[in-house]
Amino acid sequence: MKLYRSFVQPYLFWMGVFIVVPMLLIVFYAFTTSGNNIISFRFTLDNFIRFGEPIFLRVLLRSLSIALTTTVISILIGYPVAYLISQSNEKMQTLLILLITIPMWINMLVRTYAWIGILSENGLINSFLAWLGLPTLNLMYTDFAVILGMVYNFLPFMILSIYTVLAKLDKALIQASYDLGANKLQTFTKIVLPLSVPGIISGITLVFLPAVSTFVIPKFLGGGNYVLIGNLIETQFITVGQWNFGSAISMIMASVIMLSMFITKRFDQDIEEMQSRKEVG
Amino acid sequence: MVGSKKAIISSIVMIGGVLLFFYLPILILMIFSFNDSRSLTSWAGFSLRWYQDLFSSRDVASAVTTTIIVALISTVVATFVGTLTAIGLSKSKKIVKDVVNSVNNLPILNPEIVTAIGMMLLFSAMNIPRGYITLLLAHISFSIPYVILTILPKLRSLDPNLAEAAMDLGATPWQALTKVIVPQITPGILAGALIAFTMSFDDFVISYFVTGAGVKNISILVYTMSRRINPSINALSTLMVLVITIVLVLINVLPMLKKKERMPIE
Amino acid sequence: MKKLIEFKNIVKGFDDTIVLKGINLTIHENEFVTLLGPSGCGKTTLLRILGGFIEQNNGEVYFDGIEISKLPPYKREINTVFQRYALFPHMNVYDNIAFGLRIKKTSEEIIKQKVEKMLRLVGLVGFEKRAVTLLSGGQQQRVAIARALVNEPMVLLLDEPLGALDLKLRKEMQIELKKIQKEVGITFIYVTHDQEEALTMSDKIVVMNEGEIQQIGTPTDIYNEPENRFVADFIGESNILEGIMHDDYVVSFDGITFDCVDYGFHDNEEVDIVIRPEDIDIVSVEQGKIHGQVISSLFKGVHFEVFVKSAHREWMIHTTDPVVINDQVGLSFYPEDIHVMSKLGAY
Repeated sequence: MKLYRSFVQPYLFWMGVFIVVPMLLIVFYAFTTSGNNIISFRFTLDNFIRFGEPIFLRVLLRSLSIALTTTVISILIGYPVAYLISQSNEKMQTLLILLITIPMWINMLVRTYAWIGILSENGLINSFLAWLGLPTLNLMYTDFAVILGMVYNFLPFMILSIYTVLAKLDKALIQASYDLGANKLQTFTKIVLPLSVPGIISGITLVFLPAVSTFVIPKFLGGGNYVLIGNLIETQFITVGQWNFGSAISMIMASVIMLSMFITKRFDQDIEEMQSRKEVG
Repeated sequence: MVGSKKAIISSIVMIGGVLLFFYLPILILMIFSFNDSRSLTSWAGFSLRWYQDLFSSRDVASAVTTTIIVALISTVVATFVGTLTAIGLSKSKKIVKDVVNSVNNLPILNPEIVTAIGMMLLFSAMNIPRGYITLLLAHISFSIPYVILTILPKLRSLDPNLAEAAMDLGATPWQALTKVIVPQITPGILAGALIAFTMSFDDFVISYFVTGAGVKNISILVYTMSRRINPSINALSTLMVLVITIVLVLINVLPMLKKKERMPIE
Repeated sequence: MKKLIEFKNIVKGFDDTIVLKGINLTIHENEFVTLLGPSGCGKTTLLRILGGFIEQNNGEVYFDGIEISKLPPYKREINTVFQRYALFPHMNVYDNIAFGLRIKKTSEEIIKQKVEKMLRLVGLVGFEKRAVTLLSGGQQQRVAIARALVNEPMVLLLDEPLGALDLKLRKEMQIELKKIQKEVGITFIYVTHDQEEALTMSDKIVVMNEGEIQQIGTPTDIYNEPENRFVADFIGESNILEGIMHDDYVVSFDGITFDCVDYGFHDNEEVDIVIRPEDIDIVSVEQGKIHGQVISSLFKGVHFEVFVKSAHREWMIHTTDPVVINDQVGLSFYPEDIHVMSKLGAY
């Protein structure tokens, strides 16, 4: 199959140039200074030190807390919905999953933009409240608006991740649990929930990652002064032209993401280990 | 199992609530695209003026053209390269497979913004001015891993002796490829192409960073137009939603129509 | 023996098909009962109705005198061994077996005693902390049995539990299961499509087909006195033919009249007849009541499976004597080997 093996070669080259090199460049820029000028540069940790300034740390913290909140809300809403769908009959399930999937096909910008008209001062909600004679609410450009926008965009991913695992759950396990005397609640907590954890974890990955790194949603719904890490990076590259600092921030963000994924995966493994090492008394 | 009425009602409320949450903003968006005023809240009457604005705008026309052309070209290239690479990979040594799979995972697992700025740095280092070419190259780059990911499982499920059987019967390696292997994995290839097209058509973040010289796709257009409240966006969005819905409906309905054709007429 | 379970007129349908057409069945304490039949005959459905996982459309189910149809599975004193074991993958062997006891809030000391006793019973001592997903099929099976039995149910339901095992293991497990049933002393209700399995293990076999009971009896009854063509065909190998019952003890087929041991039919009633291959002897043409030509002989280890073609049909004979292909031979059998069944026979 020598001919076939050679098919890989062109892409190996492409991969190297268009995937590996950019990553290396980010690292390079993060640890150097003097922007585009590749001729004269020097290695430095200044970019990372600069990020230690309180103003930037606050951005990081805010991004993390918003992303965390979004993830938790997605789980709290997503799990029951996924569970209820998995309990309905087959035709219903296909229909409901289709209905959940369709919004995902619509451009994220469009979906986020849709909320501007609803949340803004003259928007739909406030017009409705005014019509009722109630005082208007300041919804736009708040944490609430940003979290709402994120949940709106990412909730389908959580629902689908959990649903996939629940739908594949062997029905015989539930029947076995009933057979052995456990009622519906006990069966859910002891059998269904533990076995659906992988779905929750992959859902967390699909929600937390984009939530931490997005810049469109904070820009549309948070306004010009609302800065999350994604916005920070965008400004460095597009507006301010500080590519070194921008690269350093990207590396920090990527490390934070990897760390949180690692913690989540360890959490999942620890649970499994705990269960098999249970004291035999 | 007997389900209590309460349980059924609360599930309907919950699921219905979530579906309402998903669809209501979009419906409102679509309704107000027909509004005869600039407002997004008070209804001034039915009008198609925003659609007229849309169709007469050169900006919009060029953005749509750019999006479609870039999507088509990148899909064709990515599918072609991705298919050949996947076929090559399926016959390669484990080390090669592992390396390619790991590297391929980088753009998929990384936040889009990281991939985007990486590309930006690359084009700057290679001294390629940002514009159409960089847009195309970037789209091809992020599409190929998805194509490979889609086709590899299909290849794995094939009989490993297929190509050899063909050659045993006299086919050249190339003929074995085109007459035996490719036909078997065509559904996978089509699926990969569809994914590549969708990813390219819909892309914002990566396009935003790697493009220049005023080259815009639809997403970037929406982004720049959104600076001010502009019902033309509503109009554009409505059209996009309609197109997607029609495509999704067709995908689901066509197979059923084909089945009806095959059933004998009594 | 005391009556434990009674099915009264159970009817169950799914979508357009009626799977159980009015089942009446009594099962006693301490019995090993097998529901035997081909796929789709309704045996698993009946089992699951008893277990509480499906509800019948019509009819009643009595358990120890009480009608239990409205009782959910977790309130019935019945436990099930599922077809693919349904062991909880996130728990080890010990926790799987202890599950039911923990639900009942039994103290951990008592749980330990009971689980250990079960592990001894199924031969898995020392396996307490093993991950169930890493066990072999046979081991998983035994954990499933232990998990069910540790709860000391009055009845154990087994849904084709040996299907996934290889032949030798299956035969060993059949003997083990019978042994366990005798040791524990409870009712086992076993579902299978394998007639040999049913004959080996059961005190009583219920043969089912297309939602109806065809015959109920001990293994020897079912084998020797099948009541209709279906049962005769399903159990053991047979030669089944059509004939006419002229009078009590007299039947004719293939143009010849024979003495037989059956009676109680109408004069000249059309009947089905079964003669077992092992009951036929191959003799010389003069000695045989039926003549034919040997067309094949397959060595099966325990016997030869010989096909003899007569004027009317091909006969299957099991014999330990070798024969020569194409020889003209005679077939001989005793009157008691001719089993006459009524054509209309359904239980």
